[in-house]
Amino acid sequence: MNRLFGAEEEAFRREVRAFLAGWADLDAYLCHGPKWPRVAELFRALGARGWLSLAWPKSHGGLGLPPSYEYILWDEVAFARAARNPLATIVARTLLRAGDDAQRARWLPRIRAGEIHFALGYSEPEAGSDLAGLRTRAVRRGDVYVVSGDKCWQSYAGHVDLLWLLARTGEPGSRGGGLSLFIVDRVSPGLTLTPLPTLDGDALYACRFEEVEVPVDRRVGPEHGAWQLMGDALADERHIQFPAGRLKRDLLEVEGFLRETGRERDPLVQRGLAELAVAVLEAEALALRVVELTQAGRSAVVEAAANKVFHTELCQEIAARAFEWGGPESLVRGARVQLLWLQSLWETIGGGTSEVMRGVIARQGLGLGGRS
Amino acid sequence: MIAALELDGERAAVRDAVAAGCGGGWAALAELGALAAGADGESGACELVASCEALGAAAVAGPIVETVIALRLLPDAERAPIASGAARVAVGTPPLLPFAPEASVFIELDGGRAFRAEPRGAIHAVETLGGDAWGRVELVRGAELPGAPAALAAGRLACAALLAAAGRRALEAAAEHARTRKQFGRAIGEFQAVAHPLADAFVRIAAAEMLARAAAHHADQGAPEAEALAAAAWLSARRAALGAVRRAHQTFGAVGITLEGPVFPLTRRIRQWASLALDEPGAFALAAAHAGLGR
Repeated sequence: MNRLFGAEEEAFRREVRAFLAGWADLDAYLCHGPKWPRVAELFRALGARGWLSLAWPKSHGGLGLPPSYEYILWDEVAFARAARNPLATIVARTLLRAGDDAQRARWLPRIRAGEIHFALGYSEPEAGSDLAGLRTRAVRRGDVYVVSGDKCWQSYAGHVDLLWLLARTGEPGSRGGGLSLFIVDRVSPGLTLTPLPTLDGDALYACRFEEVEVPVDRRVGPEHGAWQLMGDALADERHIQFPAGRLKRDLLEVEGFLRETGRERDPLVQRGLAELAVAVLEAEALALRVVELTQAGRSAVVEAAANKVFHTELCQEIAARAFEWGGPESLVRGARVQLLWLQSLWETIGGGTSEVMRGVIARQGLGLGGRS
Repeated sequence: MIAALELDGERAAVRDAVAAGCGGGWAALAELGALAAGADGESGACELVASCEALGAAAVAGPIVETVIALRLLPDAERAPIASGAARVAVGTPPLLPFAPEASVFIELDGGRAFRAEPRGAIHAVETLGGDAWGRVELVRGAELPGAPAALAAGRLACAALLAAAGRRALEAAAEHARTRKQFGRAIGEFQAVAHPLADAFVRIAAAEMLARAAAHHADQGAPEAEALAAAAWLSARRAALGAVRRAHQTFGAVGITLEGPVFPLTRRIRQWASLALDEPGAFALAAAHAGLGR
């Protein structure tokens, strides 16, 4: 659907494609972990071009471009299977909105350059979808906050430099009104990370905080003011979270697998592939609607939820069909569709479950009551 | 990025005008020029989609898609009476032909090709689910009409917009019912078993709407992928509308299966539009090729 973009945007897309041709070996989109050093190298290369700060204000070293450029970049990176967008950009959005001058001067240049990386420290063993119920405490003692508690299910935490920690600074039971955000060194006295190997060959991490001291100047935004900041940062990022490029590539991967196994000429398979092709276009239309609204400065909460549900369930569907059509060959370890299936199982959970997304759509899109 | 997925002021005005005028019968509809947009070879696909969104939401009966296709296949002299509503057209694949008993112009579709045609013998009237007068007829095929792919694309685009808008209307009615109907002491929309399937229908309708508008924009730009996008939009809207109205039936409960209830006018129109023979294999082939499959 390139005609929805202008000539300059399409020129940028060509530039991105030419750049990515040099990273064809990376193939880390579905699984960053084992390839982290090369992923980090890619992020530095993107940073060197200013592409990690495409839409940041020029006053903060960004290129001041519209959100559509960010979509195009991560859409192409996804199609090339190079990597996923770094979580550091979420931190950057919050710093741009709510950081003080010293924090911006300290962190933004290194995020922009792709030199430092973050994992999100949100979820806990007892607080997943109900994030406002999290228990990890950050108690102010002089010039530091002392953090204690357990975080769990953090992606990339074993590789990154820093955690973007959400912790309770208010009273127990203060829900979303008692949370604050902190930048915490991954290597800190009292902080222990335990890998939890995942189906796709990567790992999530459990992070135990035992009286971890975090300097006061590492708190970003007002004390107890994290909930609004997280919502704002999410709004700034929605348009790049689920680009259609991933699905386009998945579909071609499945067709390639079926060709290898001699199944691609089966009329039922061909019809099924064509149905998936239609669904990929539906996903692209939903994704571009989010871009359009973001670009116009309008809320895209419902549209982004719709895009996430549709995109993530479709990538599972594409992978599942490969097993349905590919038969026993799809079970052989190393079959190209196997990682697709194993990884896609995470997509409907991470970043807000499908159930939560449907709740958002029901409440805000259809005006229905009830909790998600 | 070009804001093509949002109806701009001009297109929104077109939709509003058609919505206001579509209760006046077929001639009044023709007078609005709603179905002729883009038929003269100029851009107009976005206007066509805007018009059909209004017609779909109102579940308007009549040979809408057929007229859109015919106006893009026939030469100028033959278009005028059809565009004015004076002449009706039957477009399809015999023997069962939509609107054949009322038609004075016949076009036969065969896969992705279109031919002039004349009826041989009597036309046997058949009433369909939508209440439209269709007919069984034997056609004598005449000359092939050029421009069938583009005409078919316009027909699919119109059909997509009709279906998506009718599906959205059914969904809105169901949501309104779920907000107000109480059981077990609370609105039924508070139950996830009711709310989440409606959310799923919302997602699919939104996708179909956006795809139809994107396809229209590409058509107006003369983009080579416009026909594939129109094909995908039609396939998408067909599924989305059928799913949405089925969910509406369920949400309304017993009211949803009564003749006088709010769902029936929409469900029969959606089923009728979804059953139009606009070369489904060809549409899937276009979508698959666009995705790079089969290379």
